[in-house]
Amino acid sequence: MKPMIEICGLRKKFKKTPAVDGLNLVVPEGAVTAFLGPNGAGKTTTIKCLLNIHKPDGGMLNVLGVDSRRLGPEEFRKIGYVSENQELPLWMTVRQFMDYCRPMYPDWDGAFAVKLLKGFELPPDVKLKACSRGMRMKAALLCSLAYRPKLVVLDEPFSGLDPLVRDEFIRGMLELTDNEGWTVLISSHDIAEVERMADRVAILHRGQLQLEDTSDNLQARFRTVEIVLNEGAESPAKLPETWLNVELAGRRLRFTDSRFDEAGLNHAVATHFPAAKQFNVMPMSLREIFVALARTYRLNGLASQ
Amino acid sequence: MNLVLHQFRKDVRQFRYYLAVWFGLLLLDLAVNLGWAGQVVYSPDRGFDHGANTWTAMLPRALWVLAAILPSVVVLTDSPTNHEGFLATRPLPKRVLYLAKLLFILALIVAPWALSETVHLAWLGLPGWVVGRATFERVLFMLPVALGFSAYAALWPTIGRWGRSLAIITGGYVVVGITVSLLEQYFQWDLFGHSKAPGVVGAYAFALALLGFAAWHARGHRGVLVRWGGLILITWASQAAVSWLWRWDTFALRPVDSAVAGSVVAGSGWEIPARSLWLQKVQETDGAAQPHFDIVLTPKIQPPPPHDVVEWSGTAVKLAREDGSEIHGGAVYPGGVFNVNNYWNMNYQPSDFAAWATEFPPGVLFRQNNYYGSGEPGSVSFHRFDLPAGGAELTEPLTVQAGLEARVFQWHKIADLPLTPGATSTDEFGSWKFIAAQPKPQPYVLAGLYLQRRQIELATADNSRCSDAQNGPLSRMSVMVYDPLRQVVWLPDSFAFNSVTRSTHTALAQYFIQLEFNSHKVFSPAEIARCRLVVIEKTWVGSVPETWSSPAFTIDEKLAVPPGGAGRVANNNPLPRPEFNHRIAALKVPAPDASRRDVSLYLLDFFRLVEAERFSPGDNYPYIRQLATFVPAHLDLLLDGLPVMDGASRDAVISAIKLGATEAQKPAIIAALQKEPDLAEVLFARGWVDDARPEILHLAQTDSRRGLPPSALRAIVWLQDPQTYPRLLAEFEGNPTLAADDLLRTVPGLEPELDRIVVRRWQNDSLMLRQNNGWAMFDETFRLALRHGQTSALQRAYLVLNDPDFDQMNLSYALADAFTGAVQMPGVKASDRRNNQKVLAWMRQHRAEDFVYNPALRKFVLQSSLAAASTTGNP
Repeated sequence: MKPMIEICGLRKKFKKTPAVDGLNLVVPEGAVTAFLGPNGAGKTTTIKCLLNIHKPDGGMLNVLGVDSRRLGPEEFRKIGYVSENQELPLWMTVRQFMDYCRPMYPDWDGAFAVKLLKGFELPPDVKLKACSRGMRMKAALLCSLAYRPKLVVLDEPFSGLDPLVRDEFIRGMLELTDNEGWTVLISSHDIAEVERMADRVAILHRGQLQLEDTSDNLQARFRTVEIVLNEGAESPAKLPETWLNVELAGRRLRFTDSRFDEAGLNHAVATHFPAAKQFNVMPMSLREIFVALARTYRLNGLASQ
Repeated sequence: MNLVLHQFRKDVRQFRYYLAVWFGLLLLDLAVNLGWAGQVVYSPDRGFDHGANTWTAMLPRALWVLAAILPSVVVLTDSPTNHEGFLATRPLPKRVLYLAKLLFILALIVAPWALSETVHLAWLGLPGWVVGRATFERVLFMLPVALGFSAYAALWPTIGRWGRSLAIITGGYVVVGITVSLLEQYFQWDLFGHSKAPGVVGAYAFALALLGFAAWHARGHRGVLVRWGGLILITWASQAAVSWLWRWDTFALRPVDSAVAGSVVAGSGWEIPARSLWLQKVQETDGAAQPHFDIVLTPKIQPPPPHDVVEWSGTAVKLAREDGSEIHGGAVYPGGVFNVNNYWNMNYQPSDFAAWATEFPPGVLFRQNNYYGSGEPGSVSFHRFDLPAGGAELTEPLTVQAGLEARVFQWHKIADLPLTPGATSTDEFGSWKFIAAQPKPQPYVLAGLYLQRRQIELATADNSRCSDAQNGPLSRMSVMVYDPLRQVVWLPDSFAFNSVTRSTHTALAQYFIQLEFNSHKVFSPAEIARCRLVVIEKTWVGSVPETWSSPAFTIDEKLAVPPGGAGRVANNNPLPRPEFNHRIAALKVPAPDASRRDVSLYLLDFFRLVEAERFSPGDNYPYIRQLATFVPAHLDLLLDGLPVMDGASRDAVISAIKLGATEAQKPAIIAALQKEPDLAEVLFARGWVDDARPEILHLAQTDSRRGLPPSALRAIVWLQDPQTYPRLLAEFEGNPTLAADDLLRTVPGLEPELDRIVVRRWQNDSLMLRQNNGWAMFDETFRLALRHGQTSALQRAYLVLNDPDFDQMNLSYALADAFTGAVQMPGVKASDRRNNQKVLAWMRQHRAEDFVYNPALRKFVLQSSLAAASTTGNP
């Protein structure tokens, strides 16, 4: 699969604060990539650099095989972009908005647009400024999908949406990505929003990529381990580095194993806790994996300070 | 193209309410211009109604603001710099965006307002060339505004930042302007050059530069420094380029017929008498500054053809030494062709009246109730030459090489209509309409006449009759009221032609004019019925460049120093004589041979008191005799002070020298004659005239500017030398007085020349009556005219004497005094000759035709008495 997005060594500062610091990322074709990270991680900055909204300070970015600084009308006809902060022409009605966007895209599929309109349950004759936030996002999504783009970039699309709308949105996206096979890059600060959709996950922290892998691999790699210790037993000072967020509560030692391997785990527990009575290994959801990682990054950040 | 129209339609839909306001204002403006709205109404108790002025005046301003703001907002909505905007991530080529915005600006902003002007002028039936030119001008002036503001808006991503930038520019304009001025002044930088071509050319240069910059700016991400730095750079560069490269005076006025102008000037016999050149010291307020002087010269010409007027202006000057080096200086302020600075004190020259007089029957008298006079007519000045500190530089020979421009104008009547409400007169470039006469002042309305002028005014026209350059066509018109019965032409005292205006932003401006006559002139119903409104217009025929080189002169002989020294003020409240005597007596008088310092201090106090008393007594007055005691030892001190003395002080010194000079001081006094011609009085008093023959002859032949005092003239006449006659005639022509006339008549062969001078002077001065200065009307020129037998002078005097308003004119004393000297009045006793009323009453018993000039008596005598004398054989 050829990459739809290639980022190599991206750097971007705002005054003296680095927003993105040496980011490398590849988004393959046909995959839904979740671009995760806490607030201020650099997700939106990265996306804006990809679409030439911001000028990067260094690095190379290619979108659809074209340098992002040279993206032109030809490329934008194949890209759909929706952002929580996107400026929409609020004075237009939904129908006028569709009519305004349509001539710009030769591949605009009117029937598909109508289908999306119905699917999103958008009132066509209501001005965008009179629509709720969720409806505006849907309208923006409609006008970004109606021409069947090759690449869909969604920047915090669920921000501010209530759970019902969010659910509708996700179902809609799932259906489309399944049917159309689009490449989607979706950023969020909450894995739960994108868990159902994401094929791949890339986690950003303080402008640097911390982790990038497929959802399956991540779920295969991460386990929550809980060890019941003997009375008076203490946790050893040095534990394997792949064990994250080690917590001791009474006699129960709990941690996240980021490189789960059954034999290896058994050996490690026997080595470090020979007197352990029992231990449990539980699979983790993507959300749990993300939270564990986020906590690790935050602790590492504090430690480095 | 489809995408361009698509984007255009989007903008139209988005800004439909703004466009509705814009088109609404355009229609309202058109309605005002066509007279369908905001009409100016006249009412007898309120005059011109100013009620609608506010909004009709604001309307064009609002349109200009919208013409700038609307394109800006349209561009800012989809600013190419707003990389976070909706279109930034849409496949809309920038070229399409630019074309769509341009289409919006041209089709919906520029074109409609231009079309509005077309409709306005075509509807009113103006000639096609005016309609076309006016439409072109509207587009010409709108385009850089609309495009410039649009390009500027394209530099900013949001309306907020655009608005903030404008606030910064507005606030920084003063700072930058002051900084640039200081830089240019202190470092002698010429940052922009001095060009005649600001305005439209500069605006286009800036707008185009801004368009290019905006297009480049939009192609990538640009920071704040690039934005502001680019703005400053293109502002300076575009204006500097225009200043340095554009050498044409865009939309300059053009003369009508330069060949005719050339023939007028060639036939004028112009010359610049060397004596008319003088140097005026400029009093600097900064004591440490380099002193300067101005050069003033006055060309003299023969009367030009009827209707024509010649005015002179300086274009270049060089003040050179014998070795070719120059004295630094010579600023020239050419100004406009039509030097009109204000409309309230219309400083017309005698030549203007002479040209106007050709539009009326012979003998007409121009009258104005308030007239502030004019400076020396026709003089040309060159400014700010460095004045040497002293020594040989003041006495070395210099020559002036001056470049001059003789401008020829013509006055022609363009309107002549009765004072009937609704009466109109149409000319080539507009029309006059008489609205009403307000005979008496009302609480809110001054007495006067109310008129309307519709005037074609074009900014790009080069014809002064329809060009709005240099204060516009109305400033080149003179509006007057002609009374055919009394042969009087009234000039208004104030000409409020901006009383109310309409449509001054179009090619057909309307002026609602109020002519006031200073409340002194109230037109009676009979006058209103018979008088006519006459408008005379001044047109520029052409300009002829001339050069002139002066004979050699020195600064010392030509420099005119303001008399009286520093701090001399007019004394309208003289010291009472007893007080003066008391204070003079109280001064501590030094010994006649005391030190120069002591005598100087005494003289300072002495002359202060003399000036305070403001009285020039005879030679034998006690304090004159006291002053005379210092002459033997301190003649040099008194002679040194003479140049800065005037009036009573000067008279006192001359008298003192007459009394106190010793024989040994004769050579010094004779030597000082050149600088102080007044000393001729001393020569006569002491019988030294014969010894001063060479110096008197030299005085007669030098070309210093200063007019010679009567005593010097007397001395020159005494020479009876034909070489001096031109100087005598020139002095008389420059200052014709009865005393000079009496003196010069004793010189054989001069009388015909004296006649010629008097007649020409009278013809020039006789046309204008200045209300508040009757002495200027019945001055020496008038009295000389009577003495030289000018019947027209007597007729003019009777015209004024029989004027119904004579009693309000305050001319009784001047006229009676003039009659007494020039008319034989057998019916008036000698003791009554000082009684104005009796003299004038006697004159009123007769008419001008009843008198005849008697050359022997040099007076006008009654024909009846002449006939009686011939009958009896008595002369």
